[in-house]
Amino acid sequence: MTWARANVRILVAILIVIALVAFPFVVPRPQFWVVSVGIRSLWLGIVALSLIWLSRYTGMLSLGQMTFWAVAGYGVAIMSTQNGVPYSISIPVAIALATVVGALVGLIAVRTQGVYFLMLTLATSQLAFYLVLNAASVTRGYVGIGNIDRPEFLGLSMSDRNVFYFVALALAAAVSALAWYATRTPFGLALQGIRDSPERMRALGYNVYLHRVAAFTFASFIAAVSGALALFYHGRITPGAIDLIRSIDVLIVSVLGGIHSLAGAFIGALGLTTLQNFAQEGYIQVRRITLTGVVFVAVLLFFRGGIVDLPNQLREYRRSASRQWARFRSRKHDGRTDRPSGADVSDSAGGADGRDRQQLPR
Amino acid sequence: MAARRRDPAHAGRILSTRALTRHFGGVHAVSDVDLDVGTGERVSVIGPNGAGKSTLFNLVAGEFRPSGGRVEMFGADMTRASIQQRAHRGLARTFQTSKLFTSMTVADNLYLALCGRPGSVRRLRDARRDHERIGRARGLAERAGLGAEFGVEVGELSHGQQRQLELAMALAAQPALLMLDEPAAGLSPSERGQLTTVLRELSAGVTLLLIEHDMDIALVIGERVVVMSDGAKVLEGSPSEIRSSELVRRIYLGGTLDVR
Repeated sequence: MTWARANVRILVAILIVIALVAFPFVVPRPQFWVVSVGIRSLWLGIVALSLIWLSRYTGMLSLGQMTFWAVAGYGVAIMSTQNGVPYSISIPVAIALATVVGALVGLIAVRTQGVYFLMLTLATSQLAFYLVLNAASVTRGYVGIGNIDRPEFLGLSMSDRNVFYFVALALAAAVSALAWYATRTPFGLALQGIRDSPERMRALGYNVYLHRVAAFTFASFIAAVSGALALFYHGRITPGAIDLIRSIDVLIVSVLGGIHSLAGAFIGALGLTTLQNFAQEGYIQVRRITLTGVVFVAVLLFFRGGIVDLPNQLREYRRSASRQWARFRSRKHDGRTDRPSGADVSDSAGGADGRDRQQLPR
Repeated sequence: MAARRRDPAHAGRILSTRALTRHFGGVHAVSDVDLDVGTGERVSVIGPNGAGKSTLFNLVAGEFRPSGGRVEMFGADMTRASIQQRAHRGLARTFQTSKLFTSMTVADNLYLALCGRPGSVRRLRDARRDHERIGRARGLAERAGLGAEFGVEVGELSHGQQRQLELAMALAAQPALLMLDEPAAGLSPSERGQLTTVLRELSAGVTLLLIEHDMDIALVIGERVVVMSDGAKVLEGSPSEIRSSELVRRIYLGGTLDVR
């Protein structure tokens, strides 16, 4: 049984890998599917991964992940486009810088919990938004920084959409593997312990505060990787890329995909990207944000576990529906005997009614 | 060793509090408590509800800061030490309401209990490959009667099993001083019996400070018993002295002392 299930899992994993690799070669309209849906889902998925990882393993729900995304993106743009620093230096330096900013924000933010943490991280991303808007001498304000050249390496240029896709895919796989591995280390287990019972972790000798800061820093590193990637996707960066709506988008992606599963990040990103693209293209004649909102509410109401949990959720619904159906049928049968339902229990033990009941199915 | 245990005044003291006081607003939860625990000794603190037992416990454990007085542990002034610092020096405690890691397995709970103190733990390697600590965790689980539940999520264990795990986790780091906060709360009579056996079989190296409402367990486990009432220490003596004390009879149960 478990052997068969393990084999099914391996088979599904192989099929997913084949699908992901074959994807750019088999889809029609590659500019739409590979770029607007594929690559966008990958970088959006990486930011959502940072949110889900933090929420799933530490219990801290952050709305500030776009801050570190922005620091990395602006960092590369300012260093390379305006000051001629080669990408081989600017990309790692910008990601490192964003991670340091993450650590500094973490030092303050992790002192709070629950809704306060949510507000504080949201405030951080708003702070980043207004900062890049107003520091126009460096960030060029509203206009943003454009004309970002895509990097080249090993004779391959990321201007080629397939090359870009595979770079994004590789990065997504790498950070996912890293995030997954982190949860298996004593550090990752300690985070889960802190999520369940910080008091006991303290009593066992753990430094709860430092663990939380380290987790927040790691999550901002993941968001920063996405920021650098997305810079080359857009070819420019503007304050509009990190406004309130974008921060909320990351949360929507996470909830849509399934906030309890790392895989949910990419599935949710694919879901939102597809939804928004189709809304934009006029297949569905409603406004993009309205549509996103409706789907979000539907997920919260009916599919708390997101798309990842959909099979389980549907099975659960089917089970409860069949239970209700059975109850409904038995009530109908009881109705035919014209007895108040309150008398059921005592009566069913009695002879006459018991026989009556047994004959009913025929 | 035996001589030291019998006479704490001359033994190496592992814990002593001096004039330990804590108010909450106008309420004196603990006032002027002097408590000494010698190395290897087993001390029970008893008293009716609201006597200040739990506050005293939390002052020693570091959860609360005292309003006045001192806490000395392991030969150093630990009045202002953090909870972690106390844990690193060898203090372990249990919690009154089980604060276990309920979404994790018994194995992971015990593993975390083994990795609390700094030292040889490599925090960034795959924990599943840490065969040495996993082996120790399995040993602890088996001794706690949870060998078959090693891979089970803690939320699915019975209350009694959770209390067993709780104790196993406190013992995991081989503490010098073990503090138990009402370990018998919510246990069935047979589970209480089991618990008593487990506590009596603790190795002689473990110093035990037991806060207990249940007189049966407190008097059987404790070699010395401290009675608290209204935040103050009112009596101290051997279990037999406490059992026959008229004062205890009066303050504790208002007449009849339910001791078999």
